[in-house]
Amino acid sequence: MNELDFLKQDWKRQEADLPKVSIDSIYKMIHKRSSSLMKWILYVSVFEFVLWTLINLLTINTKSLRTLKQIHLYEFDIILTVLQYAVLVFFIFCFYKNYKEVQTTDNTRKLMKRILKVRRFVNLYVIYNLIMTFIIGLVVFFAMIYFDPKLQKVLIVADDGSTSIPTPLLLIFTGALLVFLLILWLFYKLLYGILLGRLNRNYKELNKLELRN
Amino acid sequence: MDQQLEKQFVTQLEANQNIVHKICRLYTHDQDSHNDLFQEITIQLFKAYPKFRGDSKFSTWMYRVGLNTAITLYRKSKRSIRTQDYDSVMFKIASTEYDNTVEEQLKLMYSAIRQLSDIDKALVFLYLEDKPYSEISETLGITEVNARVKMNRVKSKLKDLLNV
Repeated sequence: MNELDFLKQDWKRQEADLPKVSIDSIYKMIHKRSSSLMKWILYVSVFEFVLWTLINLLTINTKSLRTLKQIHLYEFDIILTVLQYAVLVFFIFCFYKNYKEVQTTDNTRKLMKRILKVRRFVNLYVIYNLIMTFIIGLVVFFAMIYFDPKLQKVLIVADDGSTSIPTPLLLIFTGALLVFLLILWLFYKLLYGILLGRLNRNYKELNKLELRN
Repeated sequence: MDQQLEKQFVTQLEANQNIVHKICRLYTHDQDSHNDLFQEITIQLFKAYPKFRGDSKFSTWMYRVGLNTAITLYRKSKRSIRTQDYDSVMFKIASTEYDNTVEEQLKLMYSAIRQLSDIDKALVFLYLEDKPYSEISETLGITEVNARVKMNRVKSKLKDLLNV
């Protein structure tokens, strides 16, 4: 063609008209801080690691320890804490390893793939925490109702002496917990949508080409 | 990084800076963003420089890091309002020898290219820079056949945009 080749001629001529940045300015630039997508991903991910660790830490203060002992969840909490730290270390290790693999000298498709892999691991960590929050929420709920003397009066006592939790109460609690987690999840989706929308779009475009042909 | 390497990098970049400016023109819409992207590409090039072994040309290596930064890593940090004037300022038609019709057509071509997707822009850019398909495909990470297929699609997309 024609139009594009014609444009090529003009494209070459316009070089004379390009701005010039001096050696001094380049020196200054190389010592400035990058504001790239990878920096953002790093900040957001570190924030998530810190946030969830803080949430886990805050739940183990003395007052809640006493309550946990009272409702027979003390051992459960210790196992859980160890598990949470092991999982945290595992995810931070994977994050670091994947993060280091991101190189601007890779080809575009590979670079995008690696960035998405970094994010996927942090996403997994978030999903893990959401699921754990759901499980812990339910366990604490059952333990409190069965073992907290103040709450035992809500239990239904059957003729044979066995007790059970009223279904509406159970449904309301589970429902509220699910809605809360869903809102959190949607918030994450929105955050990543803003952060990674363009990258996802471009990656899909390149991939679609490779798959179709 | 030692000073010698730093000096070497700055000199090489200064000599080859046109490549970066051309990428900035394609991917930004105003002077502020142009400078912003130029700075980000410079930082990324500098970060990757210790690993540049000279097994490819400095300029070839610049195309890859520069385009990767523009397409993938760059995030507009400030407000960037798209101004209509920018096209005529940034893409000045290079020669005054053209008659009005030709000039008009070139203007239309440049504005059509601006409407393409990030990936399509990269293809057009490398094509305009006279890069062979083998290099285009290596830079983007697609096969050479697919680079050609995609380029043909971009050409017809441009034709459509020009005929509207």
